Amino acid sequence: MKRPSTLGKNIERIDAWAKAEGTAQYGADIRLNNMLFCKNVYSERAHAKLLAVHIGEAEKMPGVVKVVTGKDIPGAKMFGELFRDQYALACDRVRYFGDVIAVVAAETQEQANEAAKRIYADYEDLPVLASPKMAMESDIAINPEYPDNICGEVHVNKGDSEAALKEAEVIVKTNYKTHFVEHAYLEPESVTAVPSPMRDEVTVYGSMQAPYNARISIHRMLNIPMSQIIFKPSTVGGSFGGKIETAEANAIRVSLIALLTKRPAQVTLTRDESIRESYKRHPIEFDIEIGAKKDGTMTALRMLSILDAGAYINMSPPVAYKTAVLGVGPYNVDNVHSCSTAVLTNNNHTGSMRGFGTPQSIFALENTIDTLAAKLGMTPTEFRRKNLLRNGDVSPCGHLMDFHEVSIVEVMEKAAEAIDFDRKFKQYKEENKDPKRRVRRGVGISTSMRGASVGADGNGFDVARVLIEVMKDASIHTNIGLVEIGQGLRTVQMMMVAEGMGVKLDRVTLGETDTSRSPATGACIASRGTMLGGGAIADACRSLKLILNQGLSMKYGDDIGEVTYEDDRVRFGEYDLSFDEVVDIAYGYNLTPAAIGTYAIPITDWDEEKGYGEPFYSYTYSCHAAEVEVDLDTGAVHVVKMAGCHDPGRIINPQFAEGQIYGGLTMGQGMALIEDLGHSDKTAAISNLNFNNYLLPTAMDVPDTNEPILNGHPDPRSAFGGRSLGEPATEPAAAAIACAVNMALGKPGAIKELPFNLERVMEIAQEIDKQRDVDAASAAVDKA
Amino acid sequence: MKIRNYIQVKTVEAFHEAAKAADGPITILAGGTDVLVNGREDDVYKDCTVIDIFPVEALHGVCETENMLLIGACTTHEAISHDPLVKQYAPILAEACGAVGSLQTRNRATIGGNLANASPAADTMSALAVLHAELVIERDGEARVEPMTAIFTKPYKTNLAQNDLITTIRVPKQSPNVRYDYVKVGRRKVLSISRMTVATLLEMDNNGVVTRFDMTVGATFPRPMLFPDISAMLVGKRPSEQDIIGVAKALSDKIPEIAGIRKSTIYKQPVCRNISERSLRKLFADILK
Amino acid sequence: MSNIKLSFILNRKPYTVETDPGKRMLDVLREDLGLMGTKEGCGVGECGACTVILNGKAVTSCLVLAGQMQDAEILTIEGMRDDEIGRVIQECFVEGDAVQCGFCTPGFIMSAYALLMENPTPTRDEIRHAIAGNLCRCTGYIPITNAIEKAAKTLAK
Repeated sequence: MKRPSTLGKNIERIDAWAKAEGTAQYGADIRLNNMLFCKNVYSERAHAKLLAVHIGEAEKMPGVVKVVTGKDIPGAKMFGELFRDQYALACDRVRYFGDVIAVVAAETQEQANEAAKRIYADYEDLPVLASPKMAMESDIAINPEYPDNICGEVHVNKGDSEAALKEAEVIVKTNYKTHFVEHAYLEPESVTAVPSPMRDEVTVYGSMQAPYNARISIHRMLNIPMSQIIFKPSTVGGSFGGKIETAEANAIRVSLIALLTKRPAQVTLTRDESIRESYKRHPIEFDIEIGAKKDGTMTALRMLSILDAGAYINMSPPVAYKTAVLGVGPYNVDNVHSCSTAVLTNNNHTGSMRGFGTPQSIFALENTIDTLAAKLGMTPTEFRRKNLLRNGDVSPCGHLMDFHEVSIVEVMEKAAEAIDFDRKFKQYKEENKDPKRRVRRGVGISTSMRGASVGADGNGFDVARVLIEVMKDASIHTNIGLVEIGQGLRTVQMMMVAEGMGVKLDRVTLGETDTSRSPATGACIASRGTMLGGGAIADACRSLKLILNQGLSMKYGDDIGEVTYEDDRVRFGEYDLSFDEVVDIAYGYNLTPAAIGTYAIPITDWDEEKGYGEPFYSYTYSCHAAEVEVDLDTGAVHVVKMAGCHDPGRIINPQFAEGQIYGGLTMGQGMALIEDLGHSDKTAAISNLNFNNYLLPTAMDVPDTNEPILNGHPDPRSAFGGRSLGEPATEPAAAAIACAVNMALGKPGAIKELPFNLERVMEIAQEIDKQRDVDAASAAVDKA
Repeated sequence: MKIRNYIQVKTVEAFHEAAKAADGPITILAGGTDVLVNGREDDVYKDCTVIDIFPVEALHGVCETENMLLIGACTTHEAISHDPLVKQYAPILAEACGAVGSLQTRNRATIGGNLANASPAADTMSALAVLHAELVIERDGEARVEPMTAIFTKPYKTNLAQNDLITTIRVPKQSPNVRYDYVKVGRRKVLSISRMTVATLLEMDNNGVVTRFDMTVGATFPRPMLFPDISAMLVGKRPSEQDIIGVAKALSDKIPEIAGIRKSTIYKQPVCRNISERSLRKLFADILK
Repeated sequence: MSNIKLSFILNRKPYTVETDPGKRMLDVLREDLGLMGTKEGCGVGECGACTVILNGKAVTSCLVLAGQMQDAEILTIEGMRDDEIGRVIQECFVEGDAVQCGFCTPGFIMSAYALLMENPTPTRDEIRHAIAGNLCRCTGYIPITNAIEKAAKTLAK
């Protein structure tokens, strides 16, 4: 008998009412007695020796209580999640325009702002390395530990790609390029640090995606014990991977001020400051080559990618890992070479952003595949149908796919069907030949397989923990440090606890995220919240049930046999007890029904040196399809419809899953067409620092017909069957639009650089017009 | 925003008094959508007396005389875009006002403020230019009338004195025979600064001979401009396909001529030509048949 | 400059505050009155997170000068709870999963409110037009459009 489950239902978001009423407290909403307001002072150089920071004038300004510089940090001067190479307050060097050289704390924000204007620095300019090319050719090392400015290199090798390319009957060799992309969470970073009056302790509130990482940094830099650094993230107004290092740097600075002044201190970035300081999505340049047999069998794939890491290493090596191992796609290809290299520059550093190195590679790969398909006389779906992975195949990295349903073909068919891809592809291809047609139409499709959670480059470190306590009133209180960033994770966590304990959902309560109450659990990153958190929750539930069973044994004897927890009832032998009774029994015997659950992703068989094996424990399968209209007169692209089909394992909450897909499609649309930071590859400055020129898609730009499609197959490798969706929901989107635009322009790969803005589309449109005129002229000659 | 003084006035006279009384620079505040952005971080208005004219009722709304629409300078873009008189007698202006920013901005931003701000990218400029709009400007109680195009000197600069107040935008009423087209090219559907606008207004006699023709490009030149030579290309003619191609080319050739060859010219010149052709084909669809 | 006395009706109640007229309306709401539901996302009128209703019109409160609140009627997200239409909009946002990170939500609800006050039976396109000045990075807008459409239908009953 299949019992009813909480999972799979549209449970309302637990924080939705507070958010809809405007009472949810975000970082900048915090006001405390005696609180100081802070203002960051940013570097005026992209690359320079920092000789002196002059703060004297600012210190004398009205209301100013403290000005801190790098000198004031008592412990280690640098932080970083994986590599400690970033100043929270620049000491002897500035490496990009977002470096902070001082922070002013004053009684009011206006006073802090005024004083901040009076801080200036002496610099000795260094050459600005504003692109990976410049950095690789330069003798100057941005970070002396990386003399060639290369900070990460990851490769994949399967078979013999070189030989296979030589033998291939059809080859496409090309290159693609992507740009900086802003997370554009609607809430700019805000962090508040509150010192304890009793001891060297600080409690930090605000927009933090990764509180445990930040705790380590403050411990190292401000020399206080980790237990006395408490992070209580506020409601986070969007993150998408973006509220890790930047929020952390600000947390370090305000914690320093709080500890020095013994007063609460808050910093809230303006949008301009947020864009100036925060890390971005990696721009990547790709050289790519694919070989196939005449029958369309893909035989070889080579992808070389150079990632712009910016001024700090941040997450570049693991991003390069995902670009290398996931960038090769969900294709059945025997000969693969993929190499990703991350290069330090004086640009904004680049790090975690939804997709983490793959939206770029999918863009490059899928456009190249369309070019190859065209060369082979196949449609995009025909080629993919033939070459996508199936159950039992070996992935391009060497993973034998025999442990769950490899549903990518099915996922692609559903996405294609949603936009009527096959029919429209033929129709549009034909109608676009009409030289008089000024608005052309196109369809595009792109696929991905997304490794769930961190992957083998984090082998052994990928762990989540939860503390669950069954209270005397039989409520089940859960403390988990995986942060809600808007995706609905906390609601999903409660659903999984109810499922794990076999009780009704309203028994479950969830503590606000608090690092002093929840054991360290890694960060809410890498689309790992549901799978890793779920594993930990399942583990804690097992332990709790053992404790409760112990009480039952004490009352009913050791031979009670198997105990089941279902439908809010506890059954064993002939007994059928309410959950409340069982909890009463446990407490009656002075047992403690509290448990810490732990789940670590099993170590996978990945040979880093060879670049072969199992790069991830499991995968989510995705396909996005897009239909566009392209105006040859203006270069404008109108997105008609997008469909996103995903298999993220079991669908825990369908409405949330659809919400992820809607949002992911839109984020991809922005990346594909309009989002542009206006980065200068001469000065390393970015000019589009606010939403008046960093343009996001509006409700009018996003097709009202967008369609999310859920195609879940519960994963035996996940406790509750769910895998990842946050990142998969956006990773193929930009590629699908790009493929559609290129199709409309009559040539796969016509545009090779993101974003496909007015100017780039217009350039191709003009080529088309020139060709039309040439054709017309030669036709006239023929006639004559 | 740091300011020296804030004065709210309810009549034009009160404005003049306040302007006279103020020592030091004054800033006229209408909807505030430009002033508050400009004054955000720097202290540009620190020494200014801000005179808020938004409450002046006489500056709001649209009325008509026999030949003219009189639009109060504080009428918001949203109000103009829905105004029945504007829709009837100058629909191109209603359309251009509707293309501005977001609803929230249109609810606040005023036509007078938009002119005084003199942004070359303002969506309404090309429409007002082809309408031959005039401005009533008052200084110290004395009113004068100037062609709309005459007040601009360079981007974000006008020749208005600080105590000059644009009170009314006078727009000649267009007969129902007037044909118009307004095209805005932006990076996204709404809320985008114009990459370019092309505004066209024309009239023909019963034989399809053009009696009046104005066409201009916005968000491209340092200030709004009209081109008599472009107008002359069609006036007195029953336009052919060749004429249309010729006008579009001539108009788009103005871009490098006036604005110089810049990075953006590579994009703007052909696009101007394309959308001008498209506009004219649409406007002359029945003639070209 | 020095403070002046500002009187206005906020969420249907009279208020008088003494404040610097050169401030932004957004700061008066958040700092002087402690109404933190109105959010600042950009400060340049581009994101709509600070949308409030001023004399019946949706405006971005970051681009209104405090002095301009004089004698005005203002509605903010805090006034929606006790408002029949506001409450229904909130319910539909919650039920329809139109809320993810929630930072843009108050602004969207205010835009929706202004729309439904003026046009109780909007088409989907009219809804999309009305919320085009509010940016959302999470939801892809469709759940928000759905929620407003549903609110209009619920209110029409």
